[in-house]
Amino acid sequence: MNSTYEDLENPEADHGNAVRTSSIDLRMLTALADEIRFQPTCIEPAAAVAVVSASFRKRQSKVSSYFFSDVGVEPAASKSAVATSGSVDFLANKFNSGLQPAALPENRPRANKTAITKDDHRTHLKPPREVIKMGDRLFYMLQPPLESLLAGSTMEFPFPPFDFQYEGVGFLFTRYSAILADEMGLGKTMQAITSIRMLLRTGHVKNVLLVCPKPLVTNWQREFKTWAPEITVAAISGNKTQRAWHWKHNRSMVKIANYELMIRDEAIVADQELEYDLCVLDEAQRVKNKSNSTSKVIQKINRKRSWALTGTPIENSIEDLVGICEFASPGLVSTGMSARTIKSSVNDLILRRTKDLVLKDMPPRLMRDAELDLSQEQADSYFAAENDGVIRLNGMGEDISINHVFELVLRLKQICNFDPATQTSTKVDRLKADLEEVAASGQKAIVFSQWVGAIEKISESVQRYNPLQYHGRIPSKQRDPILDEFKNNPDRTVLLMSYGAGSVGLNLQFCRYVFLFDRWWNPAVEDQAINRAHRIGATGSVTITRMMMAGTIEQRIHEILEAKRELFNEILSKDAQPTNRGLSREEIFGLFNLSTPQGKIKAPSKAA
Amino acid sequence: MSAAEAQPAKYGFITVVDVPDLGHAGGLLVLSPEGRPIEFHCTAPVAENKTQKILYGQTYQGFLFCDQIGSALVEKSRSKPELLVTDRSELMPLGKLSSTPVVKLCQQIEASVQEAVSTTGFEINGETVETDISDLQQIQWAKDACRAFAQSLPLIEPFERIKLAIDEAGAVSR
Repeated sequence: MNSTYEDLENPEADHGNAVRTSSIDLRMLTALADEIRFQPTCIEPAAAVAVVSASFRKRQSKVSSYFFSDVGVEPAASKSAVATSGSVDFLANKFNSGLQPAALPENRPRANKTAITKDDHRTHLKPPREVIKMGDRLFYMLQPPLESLLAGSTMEFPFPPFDFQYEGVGFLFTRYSAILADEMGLGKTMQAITSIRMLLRTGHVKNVLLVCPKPLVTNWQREFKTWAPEITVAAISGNKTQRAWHWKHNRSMVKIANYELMIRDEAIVADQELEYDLCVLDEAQRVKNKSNSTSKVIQKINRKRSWALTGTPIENSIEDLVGICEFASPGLVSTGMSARTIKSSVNDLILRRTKDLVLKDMPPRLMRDAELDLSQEQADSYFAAENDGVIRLNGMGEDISINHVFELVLRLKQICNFDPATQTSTKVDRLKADLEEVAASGQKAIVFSQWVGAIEKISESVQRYNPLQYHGRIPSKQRDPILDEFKNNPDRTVLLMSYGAGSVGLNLQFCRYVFLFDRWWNPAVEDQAINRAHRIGATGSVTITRMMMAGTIEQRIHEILEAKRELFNEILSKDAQPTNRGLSREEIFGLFNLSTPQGKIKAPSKAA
Repeated sequence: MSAAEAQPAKYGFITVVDVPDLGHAGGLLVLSPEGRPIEFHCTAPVAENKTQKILYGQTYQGFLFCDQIGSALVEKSRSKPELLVTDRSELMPLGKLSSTPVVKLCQQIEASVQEAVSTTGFEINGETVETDISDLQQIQWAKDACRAFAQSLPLIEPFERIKLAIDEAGAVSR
């Protein structure tokens, strides 16, 4: 006879007729009064083969039994325990009771169905690795599929979720510590909101703190209104006194704070009397550096559950992931661990899906690299600046620093955009030609640049397309109206954005064209920018034009970044060694074939 | 049981799965009409016994699945489901052993099943169910019961849960 589950569960199980009863500590579902009874059957393992007649006994199988609470089933003692904790029933009951959703707009399609059919996709809750007891694990696995739980008449969705989104919800819902690292545009916001909604409905959480970058606060409010209109949401804002009131007395189910504010309100945030059942960090790469002040404040939040949302868990190096883990699951991994160790440690903590993996039918993302030639004026300025700069840098000897090189890089990149003397720009000429096509086809385009100055110059050149600007100099209160105007006014063909202000959290999937007027240092940020348009809801293919001037610093940076992008993809998908994603010191020096004080440094090859 | 009787409050889904290298494991999942779990029982894998196999001949599979595994599971059930649904034909005789009506969910519609559908079987939401219940009123009751459950979930779905749970239990025990 094989080993039995009862031995595993309860090594001291009495193999006689006595019934051992143990309560399951369900951790998350603390209120569930489960009971496991192990009743060994009559046959002795050794006797099974030895005596033929023993084989003819009616019962040979050992049975492990798991009882779940339900009205009329549990013994009185168990019911009492349930009543005390205040959460009696199974998940489905909870979903269909309690919070009532606000009425959805009449013209919005109802996504819910009354029942799922045999051909529908079914998502089963899976227990996290940290749940060890068999009864606890089976509790999750034996629940009805998520689609069925969420098909309750009082829990409606404005749009039908994708299968992978159900899986994401199932992942978050069961975890105290989680990093949802889906690629940008796959609906992390919706998955987080739905999971929060489920936890609120089932009574497993009462209050939630969501921290996000400041420009995204209104976006989150809007998304909550769309996906969970019954949940009360408050954005913490105002002067110090008002914010203090919000922190301490606002009874909204979800409070939204921005990162900058967390630092200002550190004294309140760190108050251990303020406890959150769940703390969600959006764009969690903001805490990738464990030693920065934001991370330190975030760590002080008194919380039971910690979820991190990020599309780029590794921006520069594997250490970024360590920083995010320090929030989600403190102490799980630490600096200095090998990539292999970190990968195995966080395996159950992170869920990452890419569009290629889950959205087979998503409109394609068409990348095209526009390699342009400098105008004569630009070429004169560029090569003069490069030659002067390199001569000057080489002449600095041991005084040379990375900042000196960096200044030259920036200078050259700016010339690639516009000639400083004449303001001529091959890129703008190309952009105008492309925009003409975009406007003629009734589509819209987003143009990203690193510099606000460049955005303003572009704006002057493309006035006929009624450009709008969205960057750091635009006050926060004016930003949402700008996006609304861009979305709703057919005469507004182009939106000029800075990477800093416009690369995260915005939903601009109605745009079919994205132009990267100049290149950012980090492919992850570029991806974020591109995914403002190429995300769920995109109605057609999205064409991304990456502008770069041939034979210039831009092309050299592009080659290095492309090599890094490939390596990054491997880190999160396969057993590859981590690498630095931004430009390293050596790489920046290598751009000009310069020497560090320690010796000559060559730019790494693409294969490296 | 008459057709006028109330629909079941508890459905038992029972199956036997093959466990590679170890034999066969049985699982019984008792659900509410909404598909919520009430209790779950599973057996340790039972290895086939060569001696029994010789003695029972062609009836061995039925003996192993029904008499040994299935009946052990049903006996363990505290909440006593009013209808048993299985996906293994070997478990059909459980109806006689436990006096609980048993219906079998067919994997696919075959010619023989098609024929059965017209007499003792029926189809619900594209799923074909057969039974060896002889009482016509009881067949109608079972049909209504299956239809009521299928309003929440397809009848095939609970078997997925049982298989997942047996896999999980087996993985842990190994």
